[in-house]
Amino acid sequence: MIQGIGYALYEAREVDPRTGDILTAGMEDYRIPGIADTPSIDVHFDEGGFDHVLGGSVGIGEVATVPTSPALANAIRNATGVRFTEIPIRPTA
Amino acid sequence: MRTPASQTGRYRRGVGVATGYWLYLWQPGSKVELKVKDGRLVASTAIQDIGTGSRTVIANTVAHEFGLEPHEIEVHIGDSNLSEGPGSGGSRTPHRDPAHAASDRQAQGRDRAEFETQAGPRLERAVARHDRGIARYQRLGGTSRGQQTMSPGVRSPLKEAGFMGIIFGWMMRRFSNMAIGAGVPSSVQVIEVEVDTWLGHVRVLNVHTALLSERSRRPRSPTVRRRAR
Repeated sequence: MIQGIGYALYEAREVDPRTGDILTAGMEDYRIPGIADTPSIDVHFDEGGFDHVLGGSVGIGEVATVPTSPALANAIRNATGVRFTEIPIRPTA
Repeated sequence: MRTPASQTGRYRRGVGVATGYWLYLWQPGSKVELKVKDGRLVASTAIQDIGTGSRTVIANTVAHEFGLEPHEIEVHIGDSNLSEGPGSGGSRTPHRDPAHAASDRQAQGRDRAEFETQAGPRLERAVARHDRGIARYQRLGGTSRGQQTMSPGVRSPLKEAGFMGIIFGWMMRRFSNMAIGAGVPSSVQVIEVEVDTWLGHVRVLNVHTALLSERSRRPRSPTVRRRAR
């Protein structure tokens, strides 16, 4: 969830257009959410599994992060009327 | 929640919702071999642990099935000479439940007899309680056509990629014994934000999320709550 917020609002690989050097190569320059960026989070697990997969196995790694960006973009659209279609959604976007 | 047009101040709030989807990978040939050695139940598979608790998962699931304690299960992994195991990568490691696995019924009788001659009385009772008996190999993935019908979420996304998708799928199956299946939307999130319209900052206030997950060994389904402020 928190990783998804970083993906939606902060994370970006910035490249020097002249040299190709990665400008956000370290944790000091690569912005990720900190504790102050972390919201109140409710998580509910529906332990139904997948009927069509033997044993009902479900991966919850990626799918927990996937909807965060569109949900955030929809919330910003709801708040401001502005539709963002690229991430990260930053003030400069 | 007020609409954008009804909010005029610097800070404006909004709510958004979205669902998540992800394909899944599985390796139909993966197996866990169960045998008795020196009076202990040994579970072996050629998976490599990458810090995701493979030994613990295997020990817990096998112990649960046989009514034993996890420490009574000896887990052997990380050796390609063992029976074929699933790959370790991304967010996937063996989380399959052997109780749901399709057992090799032809091997059951032979291996059960072998098991009983080697097992101590306690292990023997544990096996007797296990209504599926014991199979040398427990498949971790299904191979029957019936499991691969075209019901929703089953049809591989590679099928939609035309000829190259079919070729790629064949190569994955042929060289990596890996099948790619479609998922179904299995997560939903509702997010509330506050936008500073002067500076453009977005503050995430509340997140409510639900995930479809596999049946857990935990006593009950929890709701995890975190309050940051």
